[in-house]
Amino acid sequence: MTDWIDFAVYAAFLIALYFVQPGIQRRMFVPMLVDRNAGWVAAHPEIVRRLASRRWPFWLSYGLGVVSLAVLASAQFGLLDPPMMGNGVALPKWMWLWSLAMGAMLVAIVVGAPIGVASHLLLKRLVPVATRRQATLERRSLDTSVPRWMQLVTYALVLIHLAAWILAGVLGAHSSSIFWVRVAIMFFLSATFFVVTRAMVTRRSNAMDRIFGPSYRPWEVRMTFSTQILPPIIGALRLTEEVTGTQLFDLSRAIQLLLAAFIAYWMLRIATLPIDRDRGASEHLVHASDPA
Amino acid sequence: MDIEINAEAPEPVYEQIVRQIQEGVSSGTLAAGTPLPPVRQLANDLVLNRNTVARAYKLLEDQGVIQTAGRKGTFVRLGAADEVTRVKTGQAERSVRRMIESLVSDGLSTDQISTIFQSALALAAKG
Repeated sequence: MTDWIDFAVYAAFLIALYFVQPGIQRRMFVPMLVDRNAGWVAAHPEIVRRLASRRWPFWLSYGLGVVSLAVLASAQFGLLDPPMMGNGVALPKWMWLWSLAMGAMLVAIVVGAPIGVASHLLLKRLVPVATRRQATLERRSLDTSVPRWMQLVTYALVLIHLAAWILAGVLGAHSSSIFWVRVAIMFFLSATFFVVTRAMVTRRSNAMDRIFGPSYRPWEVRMTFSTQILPPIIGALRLTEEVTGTQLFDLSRAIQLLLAAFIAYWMLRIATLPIDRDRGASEHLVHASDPA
Repeated sequence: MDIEINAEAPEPVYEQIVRQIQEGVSSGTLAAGTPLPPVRQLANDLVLNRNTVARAYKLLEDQGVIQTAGRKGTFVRLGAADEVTRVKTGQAERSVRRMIESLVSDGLSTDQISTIFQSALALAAKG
């Protein structure tokens, strides 16, 4: 029965990856050009129209999405048997579904990354950076998006969590042979989420900020900030398992489902964010459609 | 407050930044103690080399308009508006002096120059 949860989450993940994500790209294409050089967009409506009307990357994505969903559904309905593991036992269903979803994601990266890089280089070559550029003189900080008390509580939890792992290691209160690998993973994850959050605060303003308005960056920062609480939650459960020598539940499975659900939610949210009509890009787009 | 640069303007970009921050300080939009964005943020947002923004900040710091307080960042200095006035006055004095020297070398007398200046001031006062 619980396999259906895995199936639902991974299906949502694939829909977000292959159907929602291209939609976001389509929605963002002209605003991104405008963000680079509104004057150029206004002066070259034909080129913009031609570039914006390219459909093959989207059809390719939709095609791969249909195939990926069909393969996932086949595995769920028993039409595609899971492979055998080294000990001759079939791979558990949830792991089979996860493997297929990750395989589909890998395909998306292998196919999508070169297309993305090529498009980026083409636009960079085609559209010169605008000579007039604007920026705010307001300093961006984490405080403007996340209350200070929440930051203190989160960082305290992160530090207590990491200290608990070290303490358990020093006292020898652990049961697995890969304990120190897990410690390293916890440190790596905590540091990564911290750095990513900081990067979101200071990243360069882009078309997304102008299209979605002033509330976009704080939302993005809060989303990434919230990821910092994941290592303490996951780590606390894992550490409990290490110390007690018991298995609470299948943590790896839960982490993978959580991660897939998080990515799917992120994409769906961006796809449905309302466009701020009072600001930036929407005005530029109106001007961009005018003849130069 | 927003800042706008024009990469094709004859005025160097770092001077455009300096001028606009000075204007913000003079108008009171950037009050004493107002934090300014780090060099990296402003350079990223304006798609500029960091050295360009750093040069603008250095000039403003030398003029006593802003101050850098280590890791706390850069702030508008107390009394910055007075410093901007002093800097602007100094620049104006230098410009006027150069202009007078040029007019004298063109053969105009000090009385003639004075008359020209007074009528120009009167015109400016009328708007």
